[in-house]
Amino acid sequence: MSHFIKKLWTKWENFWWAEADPRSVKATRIAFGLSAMGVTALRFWNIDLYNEKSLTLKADALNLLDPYTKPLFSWTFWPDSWSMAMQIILFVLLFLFTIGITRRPFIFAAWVIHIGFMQRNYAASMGVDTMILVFLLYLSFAEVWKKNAYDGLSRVMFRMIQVHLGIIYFYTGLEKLRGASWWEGSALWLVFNNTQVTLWDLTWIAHFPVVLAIFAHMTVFFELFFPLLILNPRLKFLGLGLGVFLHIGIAATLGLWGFSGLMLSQYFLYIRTHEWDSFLIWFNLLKNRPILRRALIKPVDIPIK
Amino acid sequence: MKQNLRPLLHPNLKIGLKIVFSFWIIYHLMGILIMPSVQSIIVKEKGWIFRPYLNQIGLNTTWNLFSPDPATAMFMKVKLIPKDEAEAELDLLLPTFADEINWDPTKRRALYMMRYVLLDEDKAHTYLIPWYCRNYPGTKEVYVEGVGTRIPGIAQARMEQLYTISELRTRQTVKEYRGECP
Repeated sequence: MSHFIKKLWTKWENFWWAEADPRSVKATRIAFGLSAMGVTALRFWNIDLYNEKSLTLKADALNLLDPYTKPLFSWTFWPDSWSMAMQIILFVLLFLFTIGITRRPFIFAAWVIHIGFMQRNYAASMGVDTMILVFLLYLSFAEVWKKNAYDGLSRVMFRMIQVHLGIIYFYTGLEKLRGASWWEGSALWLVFNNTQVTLWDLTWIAHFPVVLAIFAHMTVFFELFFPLLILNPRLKFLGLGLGVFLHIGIAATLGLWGFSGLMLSQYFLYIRTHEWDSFLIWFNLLKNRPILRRALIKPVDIPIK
Repeated sequence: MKQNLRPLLHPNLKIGLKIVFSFWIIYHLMGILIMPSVQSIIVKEKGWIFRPYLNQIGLNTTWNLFSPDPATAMFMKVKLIPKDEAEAELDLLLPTFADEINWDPTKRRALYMMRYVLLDEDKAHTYLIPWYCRNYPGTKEVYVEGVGTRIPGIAQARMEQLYTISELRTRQTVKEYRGECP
């Protein structure tokens, strides 16, 4: 019995406290930071949604939330007149995060300001805001600025991001199964004909109904099976590849660059050390340039426990 | 300095911390796994275990992106009746690009806000109408009409040879509200 528990504990420990590759962390930090900065920058033009001109008075803001999701207290600790100042602080904190000049309290402060804005006017919160909220929360407990040797807390947070992203995709796929248009394969037809969402007049796509249906079914398949695909080392890159294809498609047709960037930024965390090495060797062989090889393949400094 | 201190942590203390932390992992994981399924009996009966924690950190949310079915375009017509009868009524259209493809990403938040408030009668009466009363002083009454768009299925569009956005869409009133300003 004790042997079984010990074995179980080792597996648990190896899973949650697994070493993260510094290149994955760096890529995630930069890609997430840039995407979050892009999304947050839009708020400069929408600042009236978060001050005294907003839909609600500050005292009433939390009532916009459904009673089942209402928090005990609001994170919006600043008065309405400070909205622009807080927005600037948030933007600067995200910039410092992106370039790696940050520490946990600063990332957490960015998270507090971000959720504070969301709670000030929940009606104006978009899906992308929720994504920033989720990932920034985990990243605020991780040593994203370090070049190697992440502590236990950081490693758990990197793993939690991977798990949470799988849950998000799975639930999104599950919700789509309730929609007749996703079963029929015409969902993308509805999306592309929503002039408030699409960037282009894509009505010509009516001539290719089978293609539309294939993409719709592929979307549901990808979202439902993403957690399983990434668990399997052989199928992981199929899952990630489908995700890249989906998000680039979303960005190019619907203009959701920030959302796509945020989702894709977390994909780097799934790439392990030997996969980075293999990719860089392959990349160099393809290029066959010694200077580039020397620049890209650096010995990875993995600490010895 | 921090690196040098690390080996001083007693191995038992390290394992103890990991065990304590494991409880949080299990609790957090169960919360984010169970709570998005809002209609589940488990959430209705035992949701109180996770709700205060997840609500506070904003993670008690559903994940219905473009689901169950993608939404179609919606806009709002507002008529403001002034207290002073000599003044003209004011007609507003939100968003102003209701019928056009729009590349301006700064308009999207207002669009989300409009949809969120418009589709809920309570919220429309509690927030939307008072907002117009506050921002347009001298208004006596506010009329709000939510206009939705219906798009035919792809088979119907092909059969009837509807190949432009204006041919495809049909408008219908989905919500109507009226309120008096104080």
